[in-house]
Amino acid sequence: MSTWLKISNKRFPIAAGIGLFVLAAVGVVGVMNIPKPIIDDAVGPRMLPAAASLFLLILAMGFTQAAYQGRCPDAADDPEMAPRPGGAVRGAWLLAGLAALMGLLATVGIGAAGTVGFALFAQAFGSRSALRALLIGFLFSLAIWLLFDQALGVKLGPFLSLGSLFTAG
Amino acid sequence: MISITRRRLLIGASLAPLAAALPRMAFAAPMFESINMFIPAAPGGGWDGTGRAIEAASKSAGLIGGFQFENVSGAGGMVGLPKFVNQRKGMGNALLVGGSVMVGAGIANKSPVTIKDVTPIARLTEEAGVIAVPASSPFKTWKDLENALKANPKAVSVAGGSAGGTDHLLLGMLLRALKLNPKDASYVAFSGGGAAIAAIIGGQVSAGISGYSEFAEQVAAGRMRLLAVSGNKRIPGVDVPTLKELGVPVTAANWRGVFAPPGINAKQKQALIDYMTALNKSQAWKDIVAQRKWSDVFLAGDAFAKELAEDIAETEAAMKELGLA
Amino acid sequence: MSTFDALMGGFATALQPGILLYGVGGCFLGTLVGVLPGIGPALTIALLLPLTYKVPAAAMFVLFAGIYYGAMYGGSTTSILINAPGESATMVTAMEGNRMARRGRAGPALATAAIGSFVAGTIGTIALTFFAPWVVEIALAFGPAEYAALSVLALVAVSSVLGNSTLRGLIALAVGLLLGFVGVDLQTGQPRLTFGAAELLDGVEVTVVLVGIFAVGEALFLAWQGHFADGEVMKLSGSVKLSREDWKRSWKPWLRGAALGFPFGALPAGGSELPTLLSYYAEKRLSKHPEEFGKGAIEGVAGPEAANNASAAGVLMPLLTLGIPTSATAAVILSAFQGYGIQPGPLLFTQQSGLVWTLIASLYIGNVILLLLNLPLVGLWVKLLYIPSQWLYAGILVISTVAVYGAGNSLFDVGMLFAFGVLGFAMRRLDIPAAPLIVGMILGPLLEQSMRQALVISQGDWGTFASRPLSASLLAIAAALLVMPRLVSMLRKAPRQESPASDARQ
Repeated sequence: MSTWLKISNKRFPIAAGIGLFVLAAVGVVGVMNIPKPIIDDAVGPRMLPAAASLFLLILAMGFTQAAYQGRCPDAADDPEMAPRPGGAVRGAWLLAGLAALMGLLATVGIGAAGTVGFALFAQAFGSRSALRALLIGFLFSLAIWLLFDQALGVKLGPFLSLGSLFTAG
Repeated sequence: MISITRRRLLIGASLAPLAAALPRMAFAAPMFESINMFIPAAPGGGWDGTGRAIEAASKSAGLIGGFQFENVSGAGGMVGLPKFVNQRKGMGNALLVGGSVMVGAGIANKSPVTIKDVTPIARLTEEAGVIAVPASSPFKTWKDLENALKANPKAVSVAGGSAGGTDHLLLGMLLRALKLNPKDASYVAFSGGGAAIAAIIGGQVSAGISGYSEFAEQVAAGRMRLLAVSGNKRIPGVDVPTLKELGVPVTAANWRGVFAPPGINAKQKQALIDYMTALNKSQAWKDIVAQRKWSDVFLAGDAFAKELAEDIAETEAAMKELGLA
Repeated sequence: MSTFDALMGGFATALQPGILLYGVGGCFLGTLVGVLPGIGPALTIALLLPLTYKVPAAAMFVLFAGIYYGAMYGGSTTSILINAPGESATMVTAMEGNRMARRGRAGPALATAAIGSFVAGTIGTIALTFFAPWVVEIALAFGPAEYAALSVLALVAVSSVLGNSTLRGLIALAVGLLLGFVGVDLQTGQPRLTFGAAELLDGVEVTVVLVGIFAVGEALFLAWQGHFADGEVMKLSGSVKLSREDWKRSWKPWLRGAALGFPFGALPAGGSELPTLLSYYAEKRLSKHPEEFGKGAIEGVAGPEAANNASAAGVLMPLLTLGIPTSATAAVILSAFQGYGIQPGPLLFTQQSGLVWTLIASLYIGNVILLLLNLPLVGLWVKLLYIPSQWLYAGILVISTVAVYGAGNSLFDVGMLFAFGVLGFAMRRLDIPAAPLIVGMILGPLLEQSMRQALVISQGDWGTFASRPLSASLLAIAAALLVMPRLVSMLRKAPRQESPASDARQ
């Protein structure tokens, strides 16, 4: 995690090129798994997905070649865009926040998920006081819940599943 | 169980505005404190509309204290169904709205969880399919269309909803009844009713199949002509023969109903059947059915379960012939 | 003029205080859901459907009209300010709009979007009032073959959004096309590229991809960069008002955008993505400042935003004249009609004329309310950028996640959102443009399905695309647009190359 975010010098573009190959391969396997329909069509359900997969495969080759030759720009190498030290740590805070939201949203409710997620995101963006972030996060989550669930009717479940203090009434 | 007297229903109805304002303060003791209504489709669709209509009628008739809705949409109900089965197992106050689309979707997608895994409570409404042609079409009667189909089924393009849906199945059954190969059907699938209607009235296709309500206004405005209906009987007030009358032994209808989770006991099941029976008898429900021009085909409990089993077997056979199962 | 009288009757109803209040409320609510990424007007109106049991029809439709137009106005705000479009239609606005904001011109970008929305929305509504029956007849002449030809034309226009490198732009397009094919195949009912996941049977939701790649991806990228430590992410200098130059450069794109957007909205499979893309392509071609495109050209905001709003008016045309819904929002409005026991169809104008004209009048009123609401808000929205980035981006991430979760009640969607966020980060880092991916997701299925529908109708004869006059002309335009620029540059170069050669011979 901390290594791949820091690496530069063609390695990230080359890794991305390999990723594109994998994606194209997944497409090809997916197309082969489409059952052949009994009704015959001039253009069946396979033709265009197959074409898109092959197109991507060719482009992946072109991209990987360009990456080897150092012709694919990477923001990490651009003096104006390059990350400040600690990019990996900030990225980790942010991914932790996403994981917290995903884990807590359906179990403990948006109250806890939003508060914790917000605080972790704020940390990734250089917040100095965790306590303050938690407090703002809590108020923000409450506001969102009131707006979405109570006012607009977008069902989010109870604000906190622990206790019935904030459940929808 | 609490029996619902006529008087209580009247009180419920007269208190409707109040009940709407204060949903938890219904005067008559409700049959259920609350009902968990699970809709395996997005808000705004047909199943959602049925669920909301049940809510509105139940509240104004004072049958239910309150409702909680959950919508999980996708793949003709196949995304929501497993969720309902797992999360609501054994719950006596949970209901799922579903219908014939769910039968076909389960077969087409070879889903591990199907409509067979829930407890049938009641069939509520249904809508017959209709076969229509553009107003400018050379096909004046069903016989004209039938002859064209017999001459070359591939030359007669027919528009409808997604492949494997009720419209497609009806075409397959039609071709089989005409002793033609269902796989020769020239079926043009459109997503959403709007695109199919535009293709039909624009004369892009030879004919179209859908539920009657989708086409009714186009017919009234003279942009479409109905040739046949697929129901058991003619649609009241619509002078179009059924396929049976025309000598084609095919009947099909798109029905909607409610189901309970698996694992409920006989007493819980009976309570839900009693509730649906009371709902079906309520004036509020009758008003909604009339206003939406639904046809009331109420059938509850074991009788419904038996019909459902037959429906599943028929659908499976028809889908096999179309190469969809 | 009976149309005029009927319209005045509509105004008389819509301007009653009790009903006008619903209109104002709808405009506020619409702007709000437009600003929030991930929830659009379709979901909002669907959630309000149960109100049909309590609220009278006229008030309800005035409310819906406000939400519908309001969401179109509000949608451009987040696109421009934080590059987080919530709907595919406002994505094109984000491309130039956000670049303008980064250069400290957020105010003019928001203003040209708001005024353009008003101009195009009003033109669209006027066209809806007076020309609906004729435009609809033309729209009905479009069959599957024509839609296939239209999507080919749009694919040519994709060239304008490929970005700095054709290779990288095409990669994004190919990934988008592949994503667009995921789900049950409409024509055969076979699941494609779903790998056994029931959640994928209905395909990948464009909104999830859009919010993931743009909002989440942008947040990941900015956190990784860490430049916020210096202070602001964006420059905040500059006026919030449109300068004389801005007006001069905006008015033609507004009108062209309206002219493109309205007819596309009326097409049963048109949507708002195609006209916004075509408008961007046209403005880039016609602009006197083509070098500014990609760096914040005001024409690239004015045109697509106008096209977006005009198409919103166009969508109502087949809905009101034929009862045919052509967008998700129109489908939900249709079920609201049914909730009142009204079947929208060709007879709606005669049988429910009072209601229809109230709805149309409220569209005019809504446009005015929204302009009055949005212009003063421009200054306030720009202030959003003063929020310290830790609170702003934490807030955006929480709202995006909660909106996506709430719309489908599915953690699977949330997981997809985050996965596309990581993809968006990688794309930002490698300078791979996001717009072609979204365009591919929309165009791929449209091209494929309409092509196959056309071939079923023609019994497999490919000649149908050339023998139908409309489809043939559209394909000819596409070919001309593809070849012409090359031809022109070849002709321009040719004499210069010839003259030295002829000099040598002399």
